[in-house]
Amino acid sequence: MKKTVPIVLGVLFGIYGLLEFYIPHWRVRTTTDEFQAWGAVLTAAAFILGGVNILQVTWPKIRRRAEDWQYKVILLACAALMLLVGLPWHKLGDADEAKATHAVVGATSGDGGRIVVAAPDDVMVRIGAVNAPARTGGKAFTVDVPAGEVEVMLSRRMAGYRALTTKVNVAAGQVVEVRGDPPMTWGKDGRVFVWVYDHVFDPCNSTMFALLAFFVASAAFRAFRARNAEAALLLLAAILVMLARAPIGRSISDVFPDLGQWLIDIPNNAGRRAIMMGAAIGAIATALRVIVGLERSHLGSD
Amino acid sequence: MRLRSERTVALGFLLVALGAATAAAQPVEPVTALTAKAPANDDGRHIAVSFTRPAANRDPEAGVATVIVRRADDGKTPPPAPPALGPASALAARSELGDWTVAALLEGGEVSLTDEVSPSGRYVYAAFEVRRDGDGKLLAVSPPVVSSAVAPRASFFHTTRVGILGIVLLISGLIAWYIPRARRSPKDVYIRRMPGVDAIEDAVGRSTEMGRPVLYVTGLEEIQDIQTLASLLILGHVAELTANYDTEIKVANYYPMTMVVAEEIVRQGYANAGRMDAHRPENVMFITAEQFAFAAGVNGLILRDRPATNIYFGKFFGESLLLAETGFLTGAVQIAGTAELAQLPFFVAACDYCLIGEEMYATSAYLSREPTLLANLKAGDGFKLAAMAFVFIGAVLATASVYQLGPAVFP
Repeated sequence: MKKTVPIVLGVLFGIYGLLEFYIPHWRVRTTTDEFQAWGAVLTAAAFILGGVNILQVTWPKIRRRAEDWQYKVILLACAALMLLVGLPWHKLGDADEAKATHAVVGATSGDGGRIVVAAPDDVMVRIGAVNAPARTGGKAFTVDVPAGEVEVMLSRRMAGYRALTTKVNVAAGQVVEVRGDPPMTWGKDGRVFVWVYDHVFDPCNSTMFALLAFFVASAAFRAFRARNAEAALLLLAAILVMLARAPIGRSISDVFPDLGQWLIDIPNNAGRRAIMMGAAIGAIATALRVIVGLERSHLGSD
Repeated sequence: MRLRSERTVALGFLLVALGAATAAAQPVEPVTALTAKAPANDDGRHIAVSFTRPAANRDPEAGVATVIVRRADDGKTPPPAPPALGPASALAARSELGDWTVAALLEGGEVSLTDEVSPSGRYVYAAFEVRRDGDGKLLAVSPPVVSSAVAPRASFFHTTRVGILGIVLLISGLIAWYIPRARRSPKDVYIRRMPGVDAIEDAVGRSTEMGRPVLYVTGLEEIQDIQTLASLLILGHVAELTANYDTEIKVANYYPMTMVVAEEIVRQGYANAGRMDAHRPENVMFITAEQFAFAAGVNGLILRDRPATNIYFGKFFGESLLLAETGFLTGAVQIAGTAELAQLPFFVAACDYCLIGEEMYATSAYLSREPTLLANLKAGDGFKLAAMAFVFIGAVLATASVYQLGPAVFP
């Protein structure tokens, strides 16, 4: 029973998945969307289990003061921090209710009106199609507008703030003052989360990626040692391709770029295609044996 | 002098304004050959609309756009009249214009549109060519062109996928043909040796002798990816092997869903070996779902725990060499398998054994030695023979400059 039910479910959903690929009917698509929604729910639930797993793995090591336990403390602290700043706390406060307000504050001469925006210096102001220049010293931005409805948008250049938009109806001769301060938001698009991601995580990520250059150099050094005939052939091909790609190759002879390109286009491409075709056939065969329940090694015995 | 120049400028402005007004007032030619039909192999929720634009309207400088509007048609009452577009008409997609709805405003010179509609219903389309000013205000509208009523059509078979279905059916047929033969005489089913797979048991034995764990990485793709599935199938065998050898296995996962399934598979492997007492669930870990953070986490694991065997099976990307090279530095026996072409050279350079593409898919069957699974491998080989024959025939035909046979055979 323990094995039969998963196999039956696997076969049913597997065959459905296979048939769905060939049946474009909208009823089938709708059912597939529903199944995919189930999958999304399962995936989301699995992330909770993932968090629990991280605790299960790290906490005992911290308690036992195992090797490098300090890093586990940092890991848990960072995970907790990102969880905290990733929650939309602003929904608890009044940030969602923050609005840009406007009021008539005076009169001006002429056919049109005037809009005065009073906002902090780091707030970007757009009145209709006009973008305000950078301001300092808390100066208000003033622009003359034709009479009628004008859209005013207040936003900040940095991510994590909610833009405020208001429509101002300006009559001829009116001076309207618009006030507002785009509020900071929390959550995955919030200020703190984005700041930590951009200023802490992203540089670390780039550093790890940059290490690849050194790893490639050391791996290439080992791979290109001519220990036997195949390795010597590999070394020769590598030298030819390097000469084809580096400017020195062309300065030695015009043959190198063409030779290098031929190596990539013909022998290398033939090998790549053979691997691709073999892998595709293997993937179909593997998928079929899982779908029809032939493969049971991952399920064990009843 | 100054007065004269001011007059000249004013006259210039006047002429430009007159020119613009003349251009705005010019009538716009309508589209021709407007057709609406249900696309082939559709799910029944689309109508393909196509038309021809007059040459004068194609010039981007002319500022002419096409408005396509749609109306449901019951097939009984006379065809409805298209809406009258005016300066105040909202032309954004999904805007309502009386009984009509704007399907699209085509501003980039497009001459076709695939419109999403409700599956039950018939629809009439009308197309207008419109000239607008910089603010989007209508200056001129062409007479409408109306299509005949059309209903979306849901297909029950995707005809362009018949080739793939043929391959699947052929492989399925080969499996069905090989299974009884493999069951009758399993020893006659020849599968060539795979040194990389044979090395797994030796590597686990080495780990046991050295008293160090085995590290298994399931790749960086979601569980529905076939490479991840193949990796998890192999994990069951490796877990059983480590349980038999009483060696610790640590499994690093990129996604929590993979971690959950991997934990179950490792548990089952220990159960199959009758060593449930030795199973430690915390050894199946979710590291993180960020690529290089995952690489950093696994590298830390390799450097701290010094596994004697590192096994990388699944789909890998740029981090493959970071993992394999770190493992090399610790002196571990490394076995990798992936179908990712770009990562294979890295694994070949840094690992002791590398399973290339299809070999990884065959590993589970190779390890289990079950006749039905071996039959599956033989079926794959049989199809490969057919593919080789096709490649050979194709190469001969291409050499003979015959290129048009393909569409003739597979229309």
